[in-house]
Amino acid sequence: MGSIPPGGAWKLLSGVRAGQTQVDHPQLDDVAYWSHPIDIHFATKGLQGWPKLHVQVWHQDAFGRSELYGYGFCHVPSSPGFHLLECVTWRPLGSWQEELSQLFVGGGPQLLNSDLIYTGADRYRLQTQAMGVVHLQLGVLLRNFDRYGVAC
Amino acid sequence: MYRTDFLLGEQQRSINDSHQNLVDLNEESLLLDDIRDVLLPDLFDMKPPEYESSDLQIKKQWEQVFVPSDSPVIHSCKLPKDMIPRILEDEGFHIPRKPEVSRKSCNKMENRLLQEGGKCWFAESGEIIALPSPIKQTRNFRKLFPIKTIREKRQLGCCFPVLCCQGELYQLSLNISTLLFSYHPLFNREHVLASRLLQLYECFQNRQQQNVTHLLSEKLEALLNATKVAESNLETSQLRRNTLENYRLQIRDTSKLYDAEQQKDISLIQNMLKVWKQIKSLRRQQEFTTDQINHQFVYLELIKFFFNLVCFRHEQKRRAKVQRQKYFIKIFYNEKQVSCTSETPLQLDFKVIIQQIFSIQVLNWPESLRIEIFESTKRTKLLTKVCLPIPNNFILKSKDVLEQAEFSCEHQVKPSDGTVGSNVPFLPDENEIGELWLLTSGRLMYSLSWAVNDRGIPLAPVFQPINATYHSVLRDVASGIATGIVWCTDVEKLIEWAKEVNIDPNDPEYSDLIELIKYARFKEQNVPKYFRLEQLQEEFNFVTEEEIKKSKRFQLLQLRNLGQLDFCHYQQIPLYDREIPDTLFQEYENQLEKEILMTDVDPITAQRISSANFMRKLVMIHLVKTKHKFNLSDIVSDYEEIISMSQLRNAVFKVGERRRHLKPQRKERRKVPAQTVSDGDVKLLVRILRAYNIPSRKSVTVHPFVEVSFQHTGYQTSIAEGSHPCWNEELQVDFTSPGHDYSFSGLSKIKDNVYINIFDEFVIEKHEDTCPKGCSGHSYIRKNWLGSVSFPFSALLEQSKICGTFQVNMPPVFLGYTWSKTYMSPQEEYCGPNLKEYTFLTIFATIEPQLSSVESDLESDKVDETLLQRAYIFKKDCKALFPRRRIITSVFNNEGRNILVTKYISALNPPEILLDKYPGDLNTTFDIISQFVSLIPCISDTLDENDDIDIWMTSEHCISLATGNKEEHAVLLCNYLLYFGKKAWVLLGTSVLEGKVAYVLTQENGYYFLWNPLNGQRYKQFDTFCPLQRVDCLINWENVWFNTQQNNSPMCVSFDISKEGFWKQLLPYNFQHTKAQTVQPKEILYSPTDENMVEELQSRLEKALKSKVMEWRSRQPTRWHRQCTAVLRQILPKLELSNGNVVMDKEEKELESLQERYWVTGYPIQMPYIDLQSISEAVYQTDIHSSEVPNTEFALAVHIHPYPNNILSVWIYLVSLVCQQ
Repeated sequence: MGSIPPGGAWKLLSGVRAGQTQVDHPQLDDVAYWSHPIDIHFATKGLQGWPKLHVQVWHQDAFGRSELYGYGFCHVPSSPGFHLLECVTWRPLGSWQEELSQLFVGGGPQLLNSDLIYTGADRYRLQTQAMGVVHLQLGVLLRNFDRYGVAC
Repeated sequence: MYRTDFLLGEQQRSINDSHQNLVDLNEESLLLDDIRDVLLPDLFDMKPPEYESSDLQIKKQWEQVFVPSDSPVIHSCKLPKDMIPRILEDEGFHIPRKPEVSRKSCNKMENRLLQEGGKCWFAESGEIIALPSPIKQTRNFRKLFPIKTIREKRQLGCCFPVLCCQGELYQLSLNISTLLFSYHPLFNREHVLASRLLQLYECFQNRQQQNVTHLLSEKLEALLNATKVAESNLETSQLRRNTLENYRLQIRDTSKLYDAEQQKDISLIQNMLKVWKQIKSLRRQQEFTTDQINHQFVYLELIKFFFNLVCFRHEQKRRAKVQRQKYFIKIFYNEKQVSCTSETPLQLDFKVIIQQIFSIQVLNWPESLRIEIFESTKRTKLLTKVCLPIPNNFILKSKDVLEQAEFSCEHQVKPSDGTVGSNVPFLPDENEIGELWLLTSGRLMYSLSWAVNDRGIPLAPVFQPINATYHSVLRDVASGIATGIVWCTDVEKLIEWAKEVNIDPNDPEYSDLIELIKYARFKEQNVPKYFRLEQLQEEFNFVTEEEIKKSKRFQLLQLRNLGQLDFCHYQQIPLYDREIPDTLFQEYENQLEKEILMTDVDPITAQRISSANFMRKLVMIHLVKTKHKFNLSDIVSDYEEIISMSQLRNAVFKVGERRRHLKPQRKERRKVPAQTVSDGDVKLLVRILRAYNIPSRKSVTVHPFVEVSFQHTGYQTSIAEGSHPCWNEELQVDFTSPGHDYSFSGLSKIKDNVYINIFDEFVIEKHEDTCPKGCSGHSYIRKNWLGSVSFPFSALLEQSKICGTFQVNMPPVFLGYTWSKTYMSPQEEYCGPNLKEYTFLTIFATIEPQLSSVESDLESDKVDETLLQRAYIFKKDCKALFPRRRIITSVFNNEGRNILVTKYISALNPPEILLDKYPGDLNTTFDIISQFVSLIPCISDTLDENDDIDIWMTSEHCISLATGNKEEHAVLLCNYLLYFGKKAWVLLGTSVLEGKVAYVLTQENGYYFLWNPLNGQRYKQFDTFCPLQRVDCLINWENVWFNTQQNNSPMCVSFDISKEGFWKQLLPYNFQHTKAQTVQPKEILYSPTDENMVEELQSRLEKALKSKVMEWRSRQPTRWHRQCTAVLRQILPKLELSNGNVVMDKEEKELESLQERYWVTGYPIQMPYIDLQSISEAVYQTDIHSSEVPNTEFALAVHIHPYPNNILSVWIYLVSLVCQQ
């Protein structure tokens, strides 16, 4: 699951801001392949609020229950061209009782407000655990930035 | 064996070797014994193991270890020798509180530092440095700064007005005139003394001005007088005595003061005399005088010495040095360098005359103005910094008085060549003991004021006198407003916070804050009550929001994203705005605002358009809901399923198959998901097999051919002969989807019809002799339209193939044709009475490749009512039984509420006019009523694939809006028929031609009749040519029945709904609900149509059609036959009234008379009125206009028959006449 939070000067022209990938069942290695296309078109009047990608990784167990596996975000590169991005993810840690119950029955702490993933105002108070890397391949096309003196 | 022997041998050998070794060792040990006796005492010394007692060890360690004591340290130890501790706090610096450290540990630290010799850790006050020094030593560097300086010519006392374009700009003018050194390292002794003399003299002058001694002497005199008077009046009272006592005390004090002041004066004068003497003696000694030392003395008149005699060498050197010395001044405004003066040499009298005026244009609030004086001999050296006070805003240019700013500098300059140097001990006189430390010092003469522009307006910032104390805060607030950072919005919080933290109000770092708080308290109301979320955003914007909105490309992209880009067919959005025409958006807006009436559209058309829009909106609401739902097969394209066993069997038995079948069966094809196809992949295949019973010409045989037209392209078969032609030809019709959208929903939006027209080719011989015989162009070909079969594209898409024999739609009147005598029925077993006057056409049509439709299993909204829940379950069950059959149990009304369909059906009154026409003849009345219903324009739902969300309007709405979909038509007709007490049901099924349809089923005397509400036709149950193919569901006001019979073609179905094996019912028999539950009104009120409007529309239509015909015939002239037109106008109204059955006599004859002179072809067309476009389309299909025969004349008549509520029946009679020669 991922979304692109709205930014100050940026306006969405086409594409969807948020979406959900398919559920991949990794059979080889510990890699899940989603191959989820992202196609989004922005217009901007300024540089504030450069778009960022924010991802939430969810895990579906054998019973079909979904639980959170990680949050992460990364900025859309500011230079044009093809980029391989690595978006590290993390998961909030609960108390040891919660962790234990998570081990057996699943579930676990989740953020109440997903803004926290990228705003970072209160994030430092969280105790987290690293949860793997989401690989993104992004092709960025920029237009008319040089006209306004932005070197990309 | 051999091997072991060998091993044994080896062992023996080694044993022998070791024996030998032993012997050797014994010999050696004997030798060693001798050596030990002789040598060992020299080499070894036996010692006890070394041991230190732990006490000793600790003692030793303690010698190494230094333990600082925690007793306080004496101040003098901490500071350099002979230095008095400097306490900055006493000097007025702000020293914040030190972090708390216990005295003990502090003492320990100090002791330790002293031991280690780290004296640098102590501050001047003798404490350990614990805080950053309040004395800031910063360097300034030049920076770009929005201040303009205009250097002017050297002028003193006046300035040129500087052009000032904005009112906001302020201007300071700084006039730096001279630099006077009161002490300079290049002074010689005489200079020093002279300057001292000058100082003393100045002091003396000051005293003289104050005149303290004089005042004191006067006071003394007055007191003495007073005491004298007091003593003379010897009547001594207690009070008097006291005052006298007081006087005496005062006299004593004053005389003391007087003595002291006089002493001072005298000493001053003595000092001056002494210095003067010193100078004299020095001169005598030097035998030269330094030039131009002016002395003014009270006792001594002005003495001038002008000696330019031979000087000593070092004095000459000094003078050269002085002349080499140059000074320049840098001006700093708000800590930023603004300008600097040119280098000016030092004159011999230690003056630097700069005489420069700087005009500083000020944007920022003046905080400080600082001047740095630099000395440049070989390298530049900063002498000192002088801060100049910012003048008040009323100090203007007019003032010429120069101000003084004193400065001094601590640089050490060693004395040489007779100079005295600076900051070095100096003995003014050999015989004097007093040592002097002289510092370079001087005065800067300058003037600073606000400039005045040429109109006399001062260029000074203006502020109210009230706010004057808070001007710096004002500045902050002003800058805050300018930049958008209003950090002081919540002043109350700020004050609270300040209280909490206990900010030291004297701390210069917080001075701004404190001032702000003061200001806020002073003027609390003026603080804005808002704050800005995205501060500074506007300052950083490249473009404005409007510019983005204006961009055509962005608009198009957004529309494409919304899926509303049907109106222009761009594969890619053009990259530049200039490539996008403006008309595109106009088109779009037109589409959006069709409701807005154009000036020439009459109210009836407007009503049609508005109701069409109303329906479209209703549909759109639900379209949005169902848009993004896909099946697996829609997404995964390689998922191929085996459709049936037949495919498998075919694959297996392919080898043994016969080459050619006598009667080949059509094979099932693979379904292709609609998304995967692209342009040119899709084709319509239309196979025209044969036609029956085509009307023949009176004299010659007909030459019929069939033309299939779709999306304005026509395809033609070959020409056959006779009334029962057989073509058996396949036509490939190209198909392109508008907007290149091949998704199923996109395709189902296509409203184009497939028209299959039968024409008769009519050859007219050319009679002109211009053409030689044998040439192909000796005859004209004309096609006469005979009839058409049409079906919408969506029907074909739904069913994927249309196959069968259909009755051809024919005009009621044929001119020049009769029904052929050789009647042949397409199906032998059927013998109806009327069939002789109908033409039939057998076709097969399909889409290649077969497109799979979206079969979505939608989860419909939760139904809370038990009845609706039951309906929902019933529907699910039925779908499970027969997934292909249609069933509707609940629909949405126009308010979006879910309603059971049975509530839609109740008896309703038809318009009175229709009933009055044939009061006796019920059957004819029914025909008229069904005709009336068919005249209501039909809107086909775009969402044909989704049965689940149907929106049904009530019949009243349907009538008043004059529009409806198929089901609403059926409901309306059913309601009318119920009014007459007929047993009627709404029947849902599938028609071959129209796809999903709703018919009306009636029962009469044990016979069942099927009514098509869309064209008003009535069929018997066993009518072979009834297009209805499947019967799925029956609805009436009581119940809903679902057909569970295996065969569901209308001919095989038993309509006896009481049989539960055949019909599954929604509600049980005993379930009673009252009729009151119906959503329909009890009675419909009809409003008559305005006759004038109809006439107006009629003439408009006629005009429009005529111009259209001329437009289509743009290559040939179009002539209109007036007489014929007049005849047609008379015929048309009768056609409507006769309902096509009665043959007219008189008019027919008139036409006949025309036929004697002309070849007349033409037909009346009847249709409901939707809009002009659909009518012109229908006329275009007849192809009458395409006649190429010269001298063809045309006649066109339009008649509109009005029914109530603006429901109109349009008749168009188009005739072409060719003159017989």
